[in-house]
Amino acid sequence: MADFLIAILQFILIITIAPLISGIIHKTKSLLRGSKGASIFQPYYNILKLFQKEVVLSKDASWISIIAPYIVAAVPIVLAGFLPVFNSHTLFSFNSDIIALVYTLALGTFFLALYGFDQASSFGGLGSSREMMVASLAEPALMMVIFTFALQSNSTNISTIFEHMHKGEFLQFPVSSIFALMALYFVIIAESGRIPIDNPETHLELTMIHEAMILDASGRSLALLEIGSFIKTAIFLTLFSNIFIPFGLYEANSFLAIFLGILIYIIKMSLLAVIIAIGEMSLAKLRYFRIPDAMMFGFVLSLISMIVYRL
Amino acid sequence: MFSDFIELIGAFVLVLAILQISSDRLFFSVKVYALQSFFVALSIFVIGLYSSSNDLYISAFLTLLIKVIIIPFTLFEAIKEMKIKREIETYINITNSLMIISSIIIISFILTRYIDLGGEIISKKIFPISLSIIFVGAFIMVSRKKPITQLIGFLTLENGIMLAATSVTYGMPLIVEIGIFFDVIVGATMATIIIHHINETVDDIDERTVENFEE
Repeated sequence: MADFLIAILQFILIITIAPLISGIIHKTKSLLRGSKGASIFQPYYNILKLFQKEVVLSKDASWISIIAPYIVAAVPIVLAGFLPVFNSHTLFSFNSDIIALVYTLALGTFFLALYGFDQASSFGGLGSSREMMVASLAEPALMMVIFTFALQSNSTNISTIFEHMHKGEFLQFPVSSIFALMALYFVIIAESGRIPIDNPETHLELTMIHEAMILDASGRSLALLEIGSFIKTAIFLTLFSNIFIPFGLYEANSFLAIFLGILIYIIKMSLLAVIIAIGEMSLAKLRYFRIPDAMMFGFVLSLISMIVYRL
Repeated sequence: MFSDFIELIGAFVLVLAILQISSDRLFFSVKVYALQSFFVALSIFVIGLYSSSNDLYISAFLTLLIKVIIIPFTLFEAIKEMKIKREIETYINITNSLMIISSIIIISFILTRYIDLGGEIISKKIFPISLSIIFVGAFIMVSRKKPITQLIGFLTLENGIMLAATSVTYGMPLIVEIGIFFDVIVGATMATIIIHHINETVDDIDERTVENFEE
């Protein structure tokens, strides 16, 4: 029973912290630019406000536009139940396979792309085709990184991999880990649409990828799509932080351990958010046709990570 | 623990060599080279701390002075003065180069498994890493069109040799290392002067124009 409660707590933690990451990134960027910036809780207010507004659909929209936002939001929410945050007991720990996690996330991306196409706006189609290209380029690198850690811990179960990493295996293969770390960072940037690949803050027609797909969305649909992308980012960052910052996965079930686990998790996520914000401030967005080069760089890094581990 | 740290620094040098392949701006290339040399200097310094040999401190200091400060500065000046296009032109595009590079690195890892390094070695992994840096440097030299990027390839190759020499064998005799430093600095200076002269006479420093000179 205690395990189940802990699992519920972890599930709720990932979902509630997801918009906060976006808020922290935004706030850090504002501070670095010298402006005051909105509160870090602004994404929560945005979502609340959007839920109160009505949905306006184009007359060309089909049933896809009605169901797609729900699927895009539901997929990451279900997958949040796969991930151990501060304890290895999760809601679906019996089958929390990391390959299943990655490919179920692709279902969300697929429906997001369909949503972009469905409303017959040219920007939506443009964004969808770009998003599919970035997703397909990011996938090999992500799989290679995952295979590296699956090989190291002899399992594809997320909880087993995290427990293995938390036993100090990170320093066992430093070269392999460094390459994997950088490759996974590239993948996270690409999948969550942050600056060198996509700029989440503008609505400039020529460059936007994620924003182009959700340009027609309004009200509840937009809120659901936003929630989906927030939780997706949170899932990737949780994966990253538990593999490469291996503190805070406790086996004990005491209240103190749980409290410390939550605290360490929030600190880790804020730290990663600040790092991403600084990265965004110091880089310019890549030209669209440079994206394959950048993603190939990530892929080569992940490939080398695996080779170095095996040879 | 110590050998892990050296391996880690070696990994950073290799990452920067791969980043060198994927860069398409001259200034960025030079910056990457400077950072890479800094990591090489750091590795020499750490090995010096470990084996407490004064020669390695001098070698680390010379690396820092020559490769992190003097050569990048000269290259920056050369690029600014010649007003050349700042985009790097390659024979093979960056995506394919990266694929080729990854196979080269895999091959160098496989090859070095069969080499038996006698004597006291700091880390087994550092040798394939430095070998791949040498190959990456050689690849940059053959795949780039402009002499100045080929020079950067040569310098990358030299960094690989330096890393291999110090981390596999605890450094060469100091006099040999000073000789190598002079070779590199003279080579870099001469190359920039020659590039400058080519630029003045033919208004273009593409390698292919030089090939048509013989008439």
